[in-house]
Amino acid sequence: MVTGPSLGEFEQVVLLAILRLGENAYGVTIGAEIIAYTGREPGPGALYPTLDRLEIKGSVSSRLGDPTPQRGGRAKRYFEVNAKGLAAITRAQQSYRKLLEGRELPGLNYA
Amino acid sequence: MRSIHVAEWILGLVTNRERAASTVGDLVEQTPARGAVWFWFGILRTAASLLWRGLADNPVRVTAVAMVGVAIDIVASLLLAGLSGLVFFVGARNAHQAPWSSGWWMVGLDGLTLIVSVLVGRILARSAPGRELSACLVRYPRFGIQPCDNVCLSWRLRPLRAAGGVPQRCGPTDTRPGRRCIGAPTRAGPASATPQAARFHSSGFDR
Repeated sequence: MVTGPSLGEFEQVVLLAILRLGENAYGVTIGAEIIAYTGREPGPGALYPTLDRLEIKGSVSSRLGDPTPQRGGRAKRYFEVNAKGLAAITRAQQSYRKLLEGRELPGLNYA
Repeated sequence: MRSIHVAEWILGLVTNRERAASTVGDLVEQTPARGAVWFWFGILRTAASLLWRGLADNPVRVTAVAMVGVAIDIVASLLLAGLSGLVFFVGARNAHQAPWSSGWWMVGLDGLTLIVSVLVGRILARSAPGRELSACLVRYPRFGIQPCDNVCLSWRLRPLRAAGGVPQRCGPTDTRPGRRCIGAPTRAGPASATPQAARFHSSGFDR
């Protein structure tokens, strides 16, 4: 029986991007990381509500940085994946792996 | 920059101020590379998405808040209707012209309705922090229809008043020009002498 929040496909992408970025994960860098690794550009209308939703689910936590003049004096909001989010993304990825067991997809090779 | 404050205000309608500020900051940071059009599209799309999330994530709570708003609105409308009735009867007894046919009365009624709607909106905003706009949007059909029907009624009466076809309350001995009583013959002929007045009478609007 699976417990904890389930994750949508884009939520998994955002969580993995935050994990990759470590301490420098805020809106701009998360968007850039997603473009760099998936080739798709998430619009602000998709990214920010997803970050909000992940925080409400308890998968990520956020803290405010210092305001900078390049941002019109607005602070950055840094995101961090917490234990609940880590468990959720692990569970989701394990499900994908199980579904792929014994199957071969063109161009996909798990080392 | 003034536009940043406007953008922050727009996002502040659908999320809390801290989140709105950091989101605007992210978009400002990317504006030199992407342009002002992208910035504003980003603000509007983010606001629309957050608004939809407010409705979709908790439809029961948002609907409950909206229903409270509708209930308050109905009570306020009944009070306004009572006031209108009082003014109508007092005015009809003491004046020659029915007060509801006055444009100023319609404007006053619309103004009161708008004030009531704004006050109900404030109550909703306090009971649903972070989802203010969602709750008000659910209530919108109620908010939108009432001022509209008053405005439509005003416009419906306008050409009739201009043509002198609006029924005037007057005594049988009132022979001043332009004072035609419903159903009473005048020097120019029956009450439905002009085409617009004829349409008015045939629509049954004066009954």
